[in-house]
Amino acid sequence: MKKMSSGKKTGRPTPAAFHLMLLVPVIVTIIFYYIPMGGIVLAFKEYKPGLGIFGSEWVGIKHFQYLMDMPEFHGALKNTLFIALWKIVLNLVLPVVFALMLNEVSTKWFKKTAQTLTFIPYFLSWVVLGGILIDFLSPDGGMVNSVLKQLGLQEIYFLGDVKIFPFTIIASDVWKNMGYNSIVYLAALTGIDPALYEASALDGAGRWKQTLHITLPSIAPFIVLMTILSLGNVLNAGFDQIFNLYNPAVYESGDIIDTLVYRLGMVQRQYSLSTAVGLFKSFISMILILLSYKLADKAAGYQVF
Amino acid sequence: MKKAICLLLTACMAFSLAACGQKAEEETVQAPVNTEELAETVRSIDGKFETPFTVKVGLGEQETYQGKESSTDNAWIDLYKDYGIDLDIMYVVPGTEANEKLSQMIMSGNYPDVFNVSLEDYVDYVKQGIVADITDYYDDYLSDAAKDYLAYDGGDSVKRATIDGRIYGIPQMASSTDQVSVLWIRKDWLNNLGLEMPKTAEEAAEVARAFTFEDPDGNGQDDTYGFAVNGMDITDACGGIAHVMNMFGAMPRQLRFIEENGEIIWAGQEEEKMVSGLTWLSDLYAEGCVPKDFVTSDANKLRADFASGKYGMVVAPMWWMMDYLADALKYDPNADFAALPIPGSEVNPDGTVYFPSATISFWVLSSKCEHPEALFKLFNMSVDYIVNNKDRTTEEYEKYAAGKAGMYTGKSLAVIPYLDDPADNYNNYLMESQAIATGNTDGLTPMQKTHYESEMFFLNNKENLAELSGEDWSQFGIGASYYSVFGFEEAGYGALHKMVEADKWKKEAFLSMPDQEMLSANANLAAMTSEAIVKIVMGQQEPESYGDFLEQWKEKGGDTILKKVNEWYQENK
Repeated sequence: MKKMSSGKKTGRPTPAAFHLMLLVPVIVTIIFYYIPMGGIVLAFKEYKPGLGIFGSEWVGIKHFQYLMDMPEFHGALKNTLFIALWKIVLNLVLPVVFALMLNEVSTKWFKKTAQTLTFIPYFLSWVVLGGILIDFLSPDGGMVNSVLKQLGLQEIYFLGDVKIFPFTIIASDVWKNMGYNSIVYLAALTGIDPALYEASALDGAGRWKQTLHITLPSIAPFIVLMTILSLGNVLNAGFDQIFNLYNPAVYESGDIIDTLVYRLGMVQRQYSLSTAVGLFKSFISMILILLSYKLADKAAGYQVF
Repeated sequence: MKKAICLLLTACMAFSLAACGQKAEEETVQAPVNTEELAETVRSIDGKFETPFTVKVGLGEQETYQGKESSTDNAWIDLYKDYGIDLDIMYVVPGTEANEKLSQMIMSGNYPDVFNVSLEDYVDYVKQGIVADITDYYDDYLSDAAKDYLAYDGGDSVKRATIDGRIYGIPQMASSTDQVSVLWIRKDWLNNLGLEMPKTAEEAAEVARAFTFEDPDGNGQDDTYGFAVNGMDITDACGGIAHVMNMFGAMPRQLRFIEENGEIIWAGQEEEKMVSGLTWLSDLYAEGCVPKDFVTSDANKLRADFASGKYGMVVAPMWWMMDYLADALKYDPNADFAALPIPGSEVNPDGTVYFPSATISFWVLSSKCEHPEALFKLFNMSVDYIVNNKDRTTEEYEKYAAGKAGMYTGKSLAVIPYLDDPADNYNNYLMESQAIATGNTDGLTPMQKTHYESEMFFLNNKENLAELSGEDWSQFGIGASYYSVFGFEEAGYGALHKMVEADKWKKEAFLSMPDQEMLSANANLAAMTSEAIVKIVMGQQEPESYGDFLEQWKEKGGDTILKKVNEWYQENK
């Protein structure tokens, strides 16, 4: 007996060993996340690669001013906010609804199949999916428009119409990420104590009442957490997606900050300006995350830390 | 934890110190002192450096290496070593990622000594001090052969490399003619409908209508379109609207300039021509001769659709059918394609076409490199061994230029690769189409002979292509690509040849480089132009609104650009 307990003691790692294990991710974080932050100084300098980061001249907030004075920036900002906000809202609401609906399905094979099918598009990159969507949504014999035509409806140019383009972007993004986004909620749903449902059934609660009073409150913390996390994306309207789908006919409603910066920064190599835009975006995101965190704490009593 | 951080920091410092030490060591290598002797060594093909030195380079990797060759061990590297140049290969990346890698390296400040810069980046890199001023060495270090090579376009390219009187790069020469688009047409459809080859834009519109509505492929289905347009990128040589406007004497691409009455104007600035051209195109769109989804069609989609018989006409480069002719024939053995010179129109009766400046890139020297002779020696060597290969032995020719299956990869392994003679394509067309027509192969160069043989293989097997497979099919495909460009009078280069003979060019007038101010004014003009033009073609705006667009274009930076360009022109004309 004595022997066994002492054996247990030597087998248990000391705190030092835990710290040592922790050291690896800490170093990785420092190298890949903290050190590169020094690059932020580029936003306040006129970076010339020949002179290096330290040799380049300080220019203060010149790049931010240039950005604010640029008429195209305001249009792009508006488009970005519109697309991103709709994406955030729909990417929260629809997956929750989907998860709840799937949870009610009792046929196991159907549930599994539906989950797999919705998950598939998540694994395709926008480069691939872009090509597929362009073909599917084409008004010239594309599948969707052929169906519309058969139903006697007007053909719609989903990717070439200024007014419809942002919604095509939003809808296709929600569709692509539906499976992935709902998985968190599906996991949360399986964690609910079945005793709660049994008890409520005894009290005469139907399916709908159970959903309202048991299911939703149980997964509420997850919804709050996902909201907080997604708010950081309020200025990310999805560069990959839009870059692969947009065209000159929809610049007016489809040009977002990232595509504008791509044209300015990457194509024309204005490194400092692109850094300034990045910093601007991060700054706004940080404010929003802090704000929503406070709100979540106040409204739902929810804290991450 | 604190200790760990201390340790980490110390390690970092030690590492950076070590890096410093290494650098200092490298810098102590002395360059030869006698300048005239050095210049002679650089110029002469026999000149080898007595004190070897190291040149930092970055390589875009080849997809296929022959024999035992690899990116780090091959005939060219041995040749450089023999001349006293040790290559320090900083990175090897797939060819398609080479540009991105280079720009990352430049951003980080640690980049190759000798590299290639595109036309668009050149001034930027000069102004940012990334590349070195090589004016003082230019005359002394370039070999006579290299100077001949650079004189191909009468010095226009060297003019382009000059900024404020100083030279920062050696132009990579190319042929302007090669970059002009031609009109590709389905000849079998014309024959089916009993139509003539269109000679004007108006006739082309009639043909487009017939191709759309009269079932030219005779399959009984309404599945064809007269005219293919690339709306995704209007500046794309493959079907881009800017190139379609060439029929009307305009080229609405940014930073393309022509001379008009002693003044430089933007090549898309002539309102009458553009309105006429846009009316022509938007009418075709409204009538259904251009598919509704043209704004989401890019070059690849157009090419695949053209080959599979969806379109009857397209404005595209001479190499348009290269990769697709064999497949198109597999799809429809009766398919027959012809390339025509860009037709004229009412506003452009002569059929005058915009003629670009040929320079597409420059070979430059890092401002951090201590051996300016490196760039010149590498360039001279490429000219000696690749361009001027007539004086080389057959073995050398195969080793360094043409390559040999299973042995040598050839010219793509040189640090400065692909320095072809800009007149190659033109000559190939003349010689190969002649040889195929007459069967007389006298006077063909080794390259033309190889082309000729595969072209004959293609022609001999055209009737029984369904039976081809494996090796034969790929040989057939290679023959088809050369044949589509060089093989007959209506091949891609045949159309260009007729245009060269007609000599109706509007030449690029601005032979300098845009500066930072022009580029930043230009930043959104390109997007603005595409948007305006596409909207007009789609019928959302009237063609006449192009005038309003021009006003906006001027206001949003066009005026600034034109002023600068004209200042340059007055000084340099």
